Amino acid sequence: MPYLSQAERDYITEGVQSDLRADGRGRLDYRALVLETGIISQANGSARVRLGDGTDVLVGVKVEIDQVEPDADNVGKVVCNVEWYDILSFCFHYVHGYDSNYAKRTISSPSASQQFEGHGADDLNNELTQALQRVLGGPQCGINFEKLCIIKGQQCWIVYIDAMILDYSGNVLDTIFMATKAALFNTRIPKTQIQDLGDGEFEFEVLDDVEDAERLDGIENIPIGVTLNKIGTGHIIDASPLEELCTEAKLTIAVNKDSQICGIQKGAEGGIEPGLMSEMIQTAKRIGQSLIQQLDQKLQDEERQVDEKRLNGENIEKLGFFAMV
Amino acid sequence: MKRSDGRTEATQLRAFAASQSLLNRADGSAKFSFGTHLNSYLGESTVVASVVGPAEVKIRDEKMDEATVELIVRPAVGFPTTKEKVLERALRQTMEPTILSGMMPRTLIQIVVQIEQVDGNILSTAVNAISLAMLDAGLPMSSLVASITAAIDQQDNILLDPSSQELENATSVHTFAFDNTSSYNLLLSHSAGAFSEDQYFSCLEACKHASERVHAFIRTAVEKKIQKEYQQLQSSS
Amino acid sequence: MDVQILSPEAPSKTNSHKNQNAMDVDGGDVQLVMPGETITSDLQFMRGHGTYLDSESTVISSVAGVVERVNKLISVRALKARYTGEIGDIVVGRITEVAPKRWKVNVNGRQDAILMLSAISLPGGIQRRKNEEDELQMRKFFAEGDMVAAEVQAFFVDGAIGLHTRGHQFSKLRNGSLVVVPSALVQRCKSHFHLLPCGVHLVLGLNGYIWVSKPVIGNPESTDEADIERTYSNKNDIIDDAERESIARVCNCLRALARKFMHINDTIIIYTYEASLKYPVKDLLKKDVVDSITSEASQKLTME
Repeated sequence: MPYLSQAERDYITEGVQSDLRADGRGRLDYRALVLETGIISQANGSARVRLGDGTDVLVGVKVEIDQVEPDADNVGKVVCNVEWYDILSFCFHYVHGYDSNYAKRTISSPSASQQFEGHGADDLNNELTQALQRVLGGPQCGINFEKLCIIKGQQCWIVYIDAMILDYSGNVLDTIFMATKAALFNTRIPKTQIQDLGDGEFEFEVLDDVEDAERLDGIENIPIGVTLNKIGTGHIIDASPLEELCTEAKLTIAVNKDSQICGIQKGAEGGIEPGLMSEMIQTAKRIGQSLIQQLDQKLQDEERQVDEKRLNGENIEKLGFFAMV
Repeated sequence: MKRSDGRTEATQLRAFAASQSLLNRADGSAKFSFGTHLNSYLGESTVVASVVGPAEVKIRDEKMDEATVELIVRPAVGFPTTKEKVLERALRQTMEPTILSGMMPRTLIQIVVQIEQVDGNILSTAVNAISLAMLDAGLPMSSLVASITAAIDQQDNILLDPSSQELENATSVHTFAFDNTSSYNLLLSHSAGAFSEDQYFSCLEACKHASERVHAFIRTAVEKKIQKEYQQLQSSS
Repeated sequence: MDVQILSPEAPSKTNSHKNQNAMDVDGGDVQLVMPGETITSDLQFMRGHGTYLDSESTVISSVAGVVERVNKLISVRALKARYTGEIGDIVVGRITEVAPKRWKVNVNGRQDAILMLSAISLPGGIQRRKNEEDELQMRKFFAEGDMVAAEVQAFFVDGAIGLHTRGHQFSKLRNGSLVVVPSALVQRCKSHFHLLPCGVHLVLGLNGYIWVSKPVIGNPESTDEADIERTYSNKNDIIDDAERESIARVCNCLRALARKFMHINDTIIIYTYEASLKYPVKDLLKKDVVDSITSEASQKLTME
């Protein structure tokens, strides 16, 4: 396979075996995260999460009123979309082909620029969009969809989740999940007031008072994803780009705070033995729960600080893109 | 006077904001905004631009005596439309002449412009963002470009850096870009609507003045960054 | 499992500067220019990198950076730019393509560098012309993805860098991993191959690619059968846990130095390594530890 020499591949595989990865981490160590919520003023909720020295994901949540679906007239819905910032798909060639998915596609085409001409970027966008949609689009995501319905049989809220990948240094799907959970935590939906006009006719009014807006119901149950990469006989979490290139098989497991599994997605070409599979699921449950706890703690702390500042009338400064990398 | 977004003067520009090197993977990248979210009562126009290159070029696009410049505009939502194509064309025509592409034969320079938020003229914002991104990438350039938009409202006032609302009510809109050489050459002029010759030249003059402020801002932004890096290098060697 | 979740930090404020064109760095005034700005209209100066001449022979800057003057030669150094080679530079690269009689090598430059089949040494250092048979088995020497240490030998007419790997220190790289840093940080010095006191071998590529590995034992110039095999081998030697940890530690030290945008040479690497010893290797990824070890190392450097 191009873009990684046999010696590097062996070195990484042996490192996983001896529980000492190329950057000194053990198999189940996570890189540090940098998180900030509420950075897009036009969105109902937003978050930016950076992982390690590279992976950078921005998620915006927008809620809009729309007609209910005829076959499910008492619920709202969640619509996800993931996009890579254009430059990444192009640049990777010059930076070693770190992106495993692209590198794999280029096996058949020796010139890396060829993959750019095709629908490589679109495929990858779709793949990640689907992964996110499958977990968050149904009842397993824990959000109370019935509460998103404004008038039964007529109108409901649609929650649009837009993730943009700004930079890539491995483990992008897990980062998207975390940024999404953070952005949804930050999201407020305006309150609506329904008037009964009689004869089964209803009308509603959206209250635009910011103070009145409320959080989505069931936000605490939103799962996150834990991706386990099988390299050699071991499996690791939070893989680096080079590790992703060496991955034989990977399993992304969506777990919620109660350790319930909300989705499993297998990726890459290799197989996973049933015994290892259950071991990986156990690991994911444990890691996922601990991640959620720490993430929730951070989100609550951040929100409390913002509230305190607001009470004291201080200026709430969001750094957004102007933060130091 | 009072403008629709609360500004008090016709010549008042929204505060500029910029950051450089925000994307690790590109050779150069920058974000430029008219208006910052810190004073949120003003709207905000924001563009992220990135530059890759000079880099290996596809043989099909290879030029023997100069670099191939590619420019792509991506809208904030959805897929690129003819509107983006028009913008691409205008931006290319403005930026390409300033790149010393003869110094980089048989290479590719790819510029990607991602629109983030639109309140006002996006062309100006994009020009300024690309300028900064090209600086960040260290591309050889003959000069630096800065752009400003002016609108003429129903009362014949010239409004600088108009918001979207002001653009809607304007009788004509003019976008100009100038370089930073001593003669302040005009590199871009886009006008729409009905206007007289006098009005055009008053807009040109007003934008020229305002563009000096953009140039000064870009200089400060770059200066701060280079100064910091230089100090760190000095202290470690 | 513990994960560090931080809040972003505001960029630090740099000191305000005195006047528009000069900034004060360690006493000496440094001239900062932007593209299009005139550096000098004095005809006695020659223009160097980062500048161009207009119709009146005025030297004008073409990049944003710091003006440097060596005698009559004026150039502008942009701090961040792709690697432009100089003859004699040691670089580390990755093979991207096997083409007729040549390999294309990614060296972080504007174009891929070229390694001609005639510019490599044969196993065992045998001197002879390369024949058709060699041409047919080029992948036995280098295949796509392989890492190589090489020297810049010449430039092709289109500006592409020509490399060679003749000489015993240049070889296929194995036994370790690659660290990428901005190329401006790696300084030219007497040697770019270092064996650190901790037993880790380094190839400091001037293009910003650094190969960190366990030293390869054996003399590549010997004609011994086993040694000949080794020159183009893809197999790693056996690396024990302690060696692996040292390699990882050096890699993380390099990343720390790059994060702080500090010059990288063997001395600073050793100092950073020593300062890092009080932390477990994985903690070197944390921001506060990075700050502490790099500042300790640079203090030690200035004390000399």
